[in-house]
Amino acid sequence: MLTIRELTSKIVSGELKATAVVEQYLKELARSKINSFITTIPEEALAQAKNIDAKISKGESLGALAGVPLAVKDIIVTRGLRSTGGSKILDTYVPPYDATVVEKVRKAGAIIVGKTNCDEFAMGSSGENSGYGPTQNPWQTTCVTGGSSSGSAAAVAAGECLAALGTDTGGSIRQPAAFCGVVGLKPTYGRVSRYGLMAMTSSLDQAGPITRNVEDAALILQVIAGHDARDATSSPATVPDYPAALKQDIKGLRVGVAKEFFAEGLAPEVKDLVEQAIDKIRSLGASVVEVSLPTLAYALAAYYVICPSEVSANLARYDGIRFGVREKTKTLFELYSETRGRLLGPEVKRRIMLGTYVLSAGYYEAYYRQAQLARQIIKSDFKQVFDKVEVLAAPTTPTPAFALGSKTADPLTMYLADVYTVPVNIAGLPALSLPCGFTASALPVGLQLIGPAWSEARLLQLAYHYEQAESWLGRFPAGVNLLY
Amino acid sequence: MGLTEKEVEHLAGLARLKLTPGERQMFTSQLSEVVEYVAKVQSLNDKVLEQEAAASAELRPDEVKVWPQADELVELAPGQRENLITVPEVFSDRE
Repeated sequence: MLTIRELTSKIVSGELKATAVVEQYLKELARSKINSFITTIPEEALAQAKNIDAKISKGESLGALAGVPLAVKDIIVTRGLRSTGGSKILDTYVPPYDATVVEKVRKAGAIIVGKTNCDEFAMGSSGENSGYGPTQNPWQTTCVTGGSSSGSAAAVAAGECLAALGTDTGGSIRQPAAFCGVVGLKPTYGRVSRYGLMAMTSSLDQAGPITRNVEDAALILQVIAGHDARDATSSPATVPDYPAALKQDIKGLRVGVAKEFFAEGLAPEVKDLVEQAIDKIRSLGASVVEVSLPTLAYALAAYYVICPSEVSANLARYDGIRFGVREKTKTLFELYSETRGRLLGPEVKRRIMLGTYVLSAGYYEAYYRQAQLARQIIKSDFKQVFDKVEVLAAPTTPTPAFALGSKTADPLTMYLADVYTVPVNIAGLPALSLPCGFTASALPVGLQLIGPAWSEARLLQLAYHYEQAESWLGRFPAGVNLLY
Repeated sequence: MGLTEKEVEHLAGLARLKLTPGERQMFTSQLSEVVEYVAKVQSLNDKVLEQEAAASAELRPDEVKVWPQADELVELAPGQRENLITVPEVFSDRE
């Protein structure tokens, strides 16, 4: 199994042909049974691969992702390539522009093989809210992949692409990465441009890489990070050299463990594996410090006020007028209500109505304003912790991947699956998840590393050292054939 | 403090979401449960926190920039005529 760097250097040197690499991944894609993609573009991908091989034989220089078969979550727009956001209301939508992250990966030479399945408009923690059916976990197909970047995580785990782009608003990169045994990184809010991400919770959304190993995540983050004039919330802060920082020594790094992440609800198997990972990190030279985040419990409640509030505004544009599908009706009001009523899924409707409720006169103070206060308090708590330590280590999820259908009857049960990931988004911080073992039933478990704002380099560094010291790297579900 | 079906119907109207009777019933109990859970935020004291300087978004100069693909946007709509998007009439309660 090659890293992106190894693969691209072999392609650039001519040792490997981009067409051979892409053909292999397209073959895996073609025989996929896990519903990881909504749209695939095998002909275009192959044509692009041939183009890259031609450029190489002419001696032209190429970008850091030259020839890399990449998948893009369907909530990220791609010019000329259907983008549904996982929703039937955009079943026919073909965007006239590329998201900034897509422009950047294309410029770097990546070959987009298709658009991955996701929970509708990124709302979900299992993949079961997709308008196109759930994605199945390649480790155990009766289990969910996690969400909302369900297809992206599953496709990387199943060898259907080398890497993928996802988005994370409440855990939607990290949680499916944990459930699928791959690496997923959510950058600091503002690190990566949101231009071209179908807006869900504008004050929390971030795009990020989902990869097979830490170095690949560092490389993709390098490509997609940076200020974008088209996203007023993107930061002008300098982008450090993430891959260069990976091998720097971690001796003396202070790693915090907050007891609130290890409370009731955490499955014993997950707890054991995460604690073993923390022991490993200690043995690599880090010092482990006990810390506390007393308001962690409020984060999920705050999220499920703030997220629906912004959703209720952001999804008003899906009205059947300018794009997507439009119901045939007599009146204008019916056009709106029947288009949205028929084509938006139940979770989306729930959040729109919840947002409408908590923003309405009489409830705004008690819910929305209080949630914003909670957000401030949680941010402040994290700041205090990061005065004492450089990184926080925690489980990514309270349980391993659960069975399809087991949490769909009760929305609140599903929301609780995000209890360890959501606080990070609320505080605007960076975090990554990487594999730290397997349960007795062979399901992957994720270790979450959280850092202060703009500390992605250090997170990746610690993750890299841990990954290299352990044996989880290079494990794939049974039946996954990987030559590259 | 749950929601009534009438409240849910009102919210659905505001949000332009046509619900079936079955959906209305289901959403009433589900939303009530969620509202009860998120009410947790009310128990946080209104402490006077060190107010972060409100991040002022960096605004670009107020200059018109023509986006060259406007016609593609019109083509994307479900219905169009002469570079305009066709819609049902707004005042549809006229006889």
